Amino acid sequence: MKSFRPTRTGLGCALAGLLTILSALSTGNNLLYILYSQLVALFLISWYFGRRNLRDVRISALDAPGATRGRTASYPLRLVNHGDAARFNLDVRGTAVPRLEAGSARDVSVRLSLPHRGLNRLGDLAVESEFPFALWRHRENASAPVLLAVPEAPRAGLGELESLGETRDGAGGTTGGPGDEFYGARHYDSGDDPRKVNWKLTARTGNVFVNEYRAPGGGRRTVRLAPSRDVELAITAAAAACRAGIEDGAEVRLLTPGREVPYGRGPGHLQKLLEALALVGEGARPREARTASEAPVSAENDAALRWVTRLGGIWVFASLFLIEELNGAPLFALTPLLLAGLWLERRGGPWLSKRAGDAFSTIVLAFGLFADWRLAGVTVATSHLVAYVLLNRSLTEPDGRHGLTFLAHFLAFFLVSGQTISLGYFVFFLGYGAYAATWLAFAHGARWSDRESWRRPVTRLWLASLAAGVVIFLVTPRVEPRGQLNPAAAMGLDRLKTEAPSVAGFTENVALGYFGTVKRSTVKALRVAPYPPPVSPMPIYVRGNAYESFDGHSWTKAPALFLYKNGDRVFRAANGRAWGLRQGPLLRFGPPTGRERAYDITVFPLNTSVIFSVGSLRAVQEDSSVDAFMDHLDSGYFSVPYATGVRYRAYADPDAGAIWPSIIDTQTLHRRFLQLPAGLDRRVNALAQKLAGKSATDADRVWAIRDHLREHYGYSTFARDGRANLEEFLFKTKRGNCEYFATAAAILLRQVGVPTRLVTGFHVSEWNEYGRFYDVRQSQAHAWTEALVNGRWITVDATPGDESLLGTFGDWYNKYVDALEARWYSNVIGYDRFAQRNTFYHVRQDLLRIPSVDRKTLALLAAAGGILWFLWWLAHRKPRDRGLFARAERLCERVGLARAPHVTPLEFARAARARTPALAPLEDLARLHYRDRFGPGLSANERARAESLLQDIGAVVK
Amino acid sequence: MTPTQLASQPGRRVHRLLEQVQQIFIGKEDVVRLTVVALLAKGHLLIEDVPGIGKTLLGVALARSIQATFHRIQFTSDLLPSDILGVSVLNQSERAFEFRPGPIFSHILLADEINRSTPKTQSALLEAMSELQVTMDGTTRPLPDPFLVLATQNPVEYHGTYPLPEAQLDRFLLRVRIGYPSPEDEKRILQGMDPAERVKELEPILSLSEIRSLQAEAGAVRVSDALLDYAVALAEATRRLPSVKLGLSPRGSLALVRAARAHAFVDGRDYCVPDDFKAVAVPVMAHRLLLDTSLLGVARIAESEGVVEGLLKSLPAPG
Repeated sequence: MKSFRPTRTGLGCALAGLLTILSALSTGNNLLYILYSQLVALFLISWYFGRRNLRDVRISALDAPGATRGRTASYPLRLVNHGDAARFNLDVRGTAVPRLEAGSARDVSVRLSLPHRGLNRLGDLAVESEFPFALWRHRENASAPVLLAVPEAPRAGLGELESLGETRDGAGGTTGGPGDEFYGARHYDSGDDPRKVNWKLTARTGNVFVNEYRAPGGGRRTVRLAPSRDVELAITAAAAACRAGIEDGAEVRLLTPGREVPYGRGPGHLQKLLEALALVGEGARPREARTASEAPVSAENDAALRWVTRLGGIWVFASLFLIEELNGAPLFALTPLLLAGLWLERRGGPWLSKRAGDAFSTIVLAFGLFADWRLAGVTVATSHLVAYVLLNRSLTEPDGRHGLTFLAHFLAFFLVSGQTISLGYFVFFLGYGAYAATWLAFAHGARWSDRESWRRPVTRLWLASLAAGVVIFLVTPRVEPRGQLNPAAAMGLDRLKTEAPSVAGFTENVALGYFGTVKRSTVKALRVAPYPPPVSPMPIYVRGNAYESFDGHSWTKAPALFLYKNGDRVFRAANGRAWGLRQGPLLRFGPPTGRERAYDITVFPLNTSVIFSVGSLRAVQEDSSVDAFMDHLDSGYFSVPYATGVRYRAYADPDAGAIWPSIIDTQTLHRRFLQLPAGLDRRVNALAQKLAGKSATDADRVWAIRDHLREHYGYSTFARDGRANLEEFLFKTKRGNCEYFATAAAILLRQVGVPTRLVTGFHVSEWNEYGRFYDVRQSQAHAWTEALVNGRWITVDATPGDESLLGTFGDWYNKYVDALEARWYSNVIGYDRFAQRNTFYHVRQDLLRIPSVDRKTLALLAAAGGILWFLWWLAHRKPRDRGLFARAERLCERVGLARAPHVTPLEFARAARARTPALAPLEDLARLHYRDRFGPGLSANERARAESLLQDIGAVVK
Repeated sequence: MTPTQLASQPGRRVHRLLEQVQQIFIGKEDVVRLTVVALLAKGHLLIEDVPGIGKTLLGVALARSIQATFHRIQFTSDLLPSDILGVSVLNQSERAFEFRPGPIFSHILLADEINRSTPKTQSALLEAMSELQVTMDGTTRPLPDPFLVLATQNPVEYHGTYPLPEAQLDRFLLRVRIGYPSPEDEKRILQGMDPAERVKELEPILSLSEIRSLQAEAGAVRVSDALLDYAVALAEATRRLPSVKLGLSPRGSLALVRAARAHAFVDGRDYCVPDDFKAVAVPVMAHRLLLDTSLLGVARIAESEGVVEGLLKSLPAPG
């Protein structure tokens, strides 16, 4: 019968999983989903392979002298692995067997006290195992061993014996006891007469022996078990009589109903007599026996576990560096303390005393609650506390509560999972997984000293749980994050939904090098659904803010006074705002052009009031009656910021077209677009003239300058050169992010007399086929230039693709890290419910179009297939076929004939023949198998003969 | 035995030798087989059993079947080394010492009740056995080749005896117990002519030179790696048993492989199989183990054999 239950560690991990999934559900954070998937996979793999680990393991009793009923004694048991793979970490009543090879046996001894005289069936004696990760305790007791308990044999007085059914046969001395005939040699006991020492034997063996002499004969006695009402009493009496006889040195014979034990003497014979008595009557029928259970295995690999736990602590501490809000410098400064923990571990102290540790903890906690939370915010304060807990567990004396430390490590890593989106997390995740797997393996009794035996299976199963985790991650349904007012959100785990200063995206502040190294965020910023949807979606520019004034470092817009026409009336724009005119549900900024298209735009919380549109905005429809205005740079704004997000429909002309036609005095604005920063290096002008030199028209100048920038400058999000200004970008570093390119194009064009402005927004290519919309992420935030050519504003994107200018290793490295990061952000971090549905929808659609299947789909299917195959292979792995005879054995197993591991094929064949004469061919087959395996091999004839023998056996078996 | 296994010429001759000796020594096929194994493996045989069960008969029958000389020494407490090895006597006519070889100078030597003589005499025999030569008066004389000692030890009466210590027992390749014949076999023995008479009529089957070449062939029997692992596992296991004070020495494992080779050869094969190891494991290993027990005599032998049998039942056999 198989049974299983979760262990304490398992329950702890289940709770951790619950915490993780709740946090993931409430925040939508995919790294929490990863952690959760891993935990679930670990549970499943642990359960399935733990169950398999006990398959075909049988436990049986070994022949051993029966111990007295009711007294605790050691019983030898044999564990046999009939399976085809090794079994690990088996446990029988506290006796551990670290590894049991396929087909091998191991003898263990358990201390038991048997309640019944005669045969006891130990139904509750089972093989247990917590392999591989100590999350489940599996139990297998398919074969209950049967053990023999002999009756008590009390010492009885001589007078009582006659009444107990003992008769003395024949002549001879009546008593045993001291005499002068040599009886035997035995080990010396204190108090023995030194004259009796057997010196020869003593000298030869090194142990002191004494000779024992008995009175001659000792006589012969017969003990009869009389039929009696109280069988147990009669048996006890007979046992007492047997014992008395043997101790007297007599030859004793036992007569029980239906059985006779012939004359014999000595302690061995007494055992025989008692065993015969044990089997009288009820004793011959195995009775169910419940035996007291011993204490479970103690954790004896404390030292290894301590080391693993400390190393894991360091790893988790290192992962705190991933939290961008935390200041790295103090963390770094604390690292030596952790290493000191390791050093102390080697030295064995002196540790921080318990009292000092507690006092310090109280101070830190108070500081965290009353000061840190207010000063640094909940997120950072919580991280500080976690860092402290890690330090504390590392520096205090080990108290054996490794489970608690492991839990602290989990919580710390959980926090890190919630608070970072960095690609580096993946490395830490793998490391943490390896640490957790090792820790769990140690926690359930794997030993460091025989790591060779369990390292491979545990590694294999860890990889399996990783693979299964990927599948679970992909298919766990994502839901819309619920609620911001929960503990998970309070701890900052929902960071993906909030603005964080370290993450760059769309901004209203354009300053060169403002961000330093740009960290990309996959936060969804917008969703743009063109109406009607395009047949073949192309990348689009989503237009946000625009600027015209550059001071050498940053771009601003100066409010302009201008006249504009809306409807039939002419208005003066105060503060540069041209208000929209309400027409039905629409707010119109000018007359319809006829080329307008509608875009349903959803803006997720962004701290701005810009009206995003594709192309030149003409009208907007928003349900609440908020006013909107446009400025002289063709950007629209709502009158209030929409911090909590907004949905609206924008009508826009996708061909950017003329400057907003409603503005009447456009000429007065032109010079604004030719403004140059004061103190601009002359080389800029020279460069502009050189580039534009031969061009005849403005349009040619624009393309010449754009192409030059695209071809001779490189894109990089890394700020290795500090915050370079425009001149440094143009003449020195020659690499930068999109703002540098947009600025350079704008200024160079202004040098040759082309009016320009800088536009920020998003360059979007991520089309969601399922939802029919573009997904716009913060990482796609972009800046480009618009140039006024022939009275029309045209889009000039001077930013090259990532692949330009890859000369040095650094560039090459950056390129791949960039590409990896982009994948990580869009495929892992940004895998939300829409992406999930889209993925599956895309795969389904693609499969319907076979054979023209997309490469991405193929890759996905191949990966999924690979993972499933790996799991299947693990579950069905078979060791190498041992050839002909193994096939015959498998045939024999069908009729209940199995070869025990210690039996050779020939012995097995003979036994099979003895049982079933028709199986005689097995013997010849065994000989042929021997010749094949141990001898020179088989000739073609012999092989054919073996095959025909195998067929004969198959026929017999059927 | 299948015809294929007897195809080889040496295999057939060994088989005939076995058959002939078994006709004289009725009912103890395994003992005869082990004796031939000891002969082919260039080892010696220790028989621990009571008198009167045909040890001499076994020796004589084997000797006659291979044209070998046979001597028997009854060990007594006053036996001297020179009684075994030989003695130099003064030849009056030639006025020189002349070596009179002792009974050890024979191909097959039956050393009866070896535990009755003093350790000094015992060691003289045992040294000669292991070195296959006798050195006396500064002259080294080689013993005949082949040379097989059948020593007997009576485990029942050990009052006034000098049982061989375990270290000395190591010199014997195999230790066997003959035991009484079964009632049917005993009747067969009584029915026929007196075996002691019949043995005189035996015809030689193999010559001594043939025995020597067979010994060489038996030493070349193939043993696969898996079987060597099995032998090592057996030896290892004896060293780990709590009931054994001193496990099998490497010399013991060597002996195990040597005996298994000879056993395979007697069986007509030129490669070993697991059954060969199982067949010789008890005779080779049991007497080499130093048990942690106070038992003596037959019980001690039975216990050590039980230990080896237990190992054979717990270690997985290569298959």
